[in-house]
Amino acid sequence: MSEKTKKPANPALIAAVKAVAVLVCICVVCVALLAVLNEVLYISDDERLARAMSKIYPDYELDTEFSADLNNTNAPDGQIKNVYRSRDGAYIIEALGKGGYQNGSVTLYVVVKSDATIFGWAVKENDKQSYIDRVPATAGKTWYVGRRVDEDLQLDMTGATVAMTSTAIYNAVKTAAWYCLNTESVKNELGLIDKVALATDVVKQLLGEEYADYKFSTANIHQNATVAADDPAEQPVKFMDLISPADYPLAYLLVGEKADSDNGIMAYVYGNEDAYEAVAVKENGTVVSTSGMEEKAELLQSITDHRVIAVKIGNQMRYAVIHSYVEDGDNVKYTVSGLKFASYPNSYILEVVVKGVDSKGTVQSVTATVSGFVSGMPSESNANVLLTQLNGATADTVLELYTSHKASGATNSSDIIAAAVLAVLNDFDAKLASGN
Amino acid sequence: MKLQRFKEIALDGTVRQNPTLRLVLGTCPTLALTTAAMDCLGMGAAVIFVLVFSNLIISLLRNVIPDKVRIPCFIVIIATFVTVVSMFIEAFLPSLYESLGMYLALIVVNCIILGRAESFASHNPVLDSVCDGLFMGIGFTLSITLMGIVREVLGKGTLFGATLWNFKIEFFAKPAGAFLTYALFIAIFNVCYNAVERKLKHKAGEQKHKAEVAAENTAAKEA
Repeated sequence: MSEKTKKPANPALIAAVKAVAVLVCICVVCVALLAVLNEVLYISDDERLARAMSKIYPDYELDTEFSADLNNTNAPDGQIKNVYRSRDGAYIIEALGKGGYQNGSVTLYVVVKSDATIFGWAVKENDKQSYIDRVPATAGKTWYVGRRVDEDLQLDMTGATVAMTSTAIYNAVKTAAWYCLNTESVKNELGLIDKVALATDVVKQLLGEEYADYKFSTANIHQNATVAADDPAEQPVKFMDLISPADYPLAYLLVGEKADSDNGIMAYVYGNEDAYEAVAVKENGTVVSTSGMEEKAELLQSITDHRVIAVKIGNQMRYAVIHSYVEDGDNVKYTVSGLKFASYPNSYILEVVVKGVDSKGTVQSVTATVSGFVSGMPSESNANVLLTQLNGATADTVLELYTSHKASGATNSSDIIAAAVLAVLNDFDAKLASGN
Repeated sequence: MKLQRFKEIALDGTVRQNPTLRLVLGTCPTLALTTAAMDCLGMGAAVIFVLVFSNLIISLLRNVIPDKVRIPCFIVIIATFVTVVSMFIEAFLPSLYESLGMYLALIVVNCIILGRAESFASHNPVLDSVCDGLFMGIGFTLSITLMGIVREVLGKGTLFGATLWNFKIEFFAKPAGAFLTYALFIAIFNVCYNAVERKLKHKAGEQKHKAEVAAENTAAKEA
């Protein structure tokens, strides 16, 4: 019978096993404690709603018999999570807005009164919006308040220093408005007419069958966005002043997107729902307008001269206006304005020199003649880094450079700069392809 | 625990090793939250809770936790208590929860808490560790609340939310004002602390000298 020899225990192994065991035990106990507390302290959706309403809509009294129509919840800029109704007829729409910082989102409770006006909103939760605390506590009682859900809700974020988070808030409010307009029962109850849909119909009719599968929505361009003046020595001018004359104001600025396309076409709608008139600019720059618009020759010229190019940056449409195109040997110098879309920063006016390399437009230099950066905002240096990094970029690589750069913090300006340069490269490539 | 030891711990936490003004720890909430004194009290209470309970548990487990995994263990324990306090505040004080925002969750990485766990609780008995957590927390709370009062009064013209007057120097409510106020607080505190310490040393020296002289006199008389 052979004698069994006992191997000596490895003290290092024993110590390691003990260390792991202790750590695991501590984790398990902590998890158990938190699980129990979570059960006890869990805040239900109803409780969250009641808390939010106590701040913005004290008259709220939940209509328990109401059952929300949630058949269609995916809006262009967000998603409807739930809908409640107060006994006085007001709708409380829980809407998620996309397009926040790092593609995150903000979920709001938006109160829409029975007269179809927005009464207020409160934040329910957010995803990745670490600076949401900077949104003023009073914002829910001021921004967008009093606006009708069937009007073109323009950005209203006075005093916000969080451009991307504010954009997500804007999108959530727009999503709530979209729900009211696209849900038959709510639409009828609030007596709404979907004016954007009517305007879209006019635009589609104008463009014909070729554009039947385009999806139109209101363009997210800031009211104060500026573009370079005709005389470069002069101060930039307000873009809206160029396309919306005082005696013939713009009703809607629409952007049309085809599924899986990274570009969009612009449509300008004037008049009111009884008789909308429209101007549309096709991808090749051709301007078409409804009959009767010929009288507005100056306006049509202004639209033609300030052609807005819509390009997709990240998952959002951004806009740029190309002003001039000067050939200098092999190089072409563009002046382009990247349009402001959120509260900060402002429009950028860039000089972009492009050269055709291997049948592709390649950026030779990007210079900001007007920096859109707002003094006091962080990361101006990061925005300037992108200007340098775009040297050598082609239409295929702009988004790659933009994505790797954006994490550095200059989010809003990165979008504007990238959109302007991409618009230039698309234009150059189109000209190159057509032999111009 | 002896009364003398208790006094030492209390003095260390609130004065001699005041986390904010002497050790310059926990500067993130100190700079960010001191625009409102009420938020400072809320944050202070949360930090006291986490410090006391994390010190308690870490001290209890100090002979069980192996040295190699002590930091992950401390972090797990601290994070658990931060989550607990966060859940409590969200459930019972929602307005404070909104005001503190992400800084509440950031208590997990507050150097005061990990620092006390590592330097005190993991080497000392339970009662001492609990007292250390309590007084360190009190020291932190007092410092940030005082700073909060100064910044709120000067920067907003309010005190604990109540309007005092319409006069305000907005600079004090801005980040640059936070740095300036913090620097002034550190300077004033340390000048006072050093002056008191010198005085005490001088007093102790005098007493020692008197005792020596008395001893010499006694020796001379005896001789």
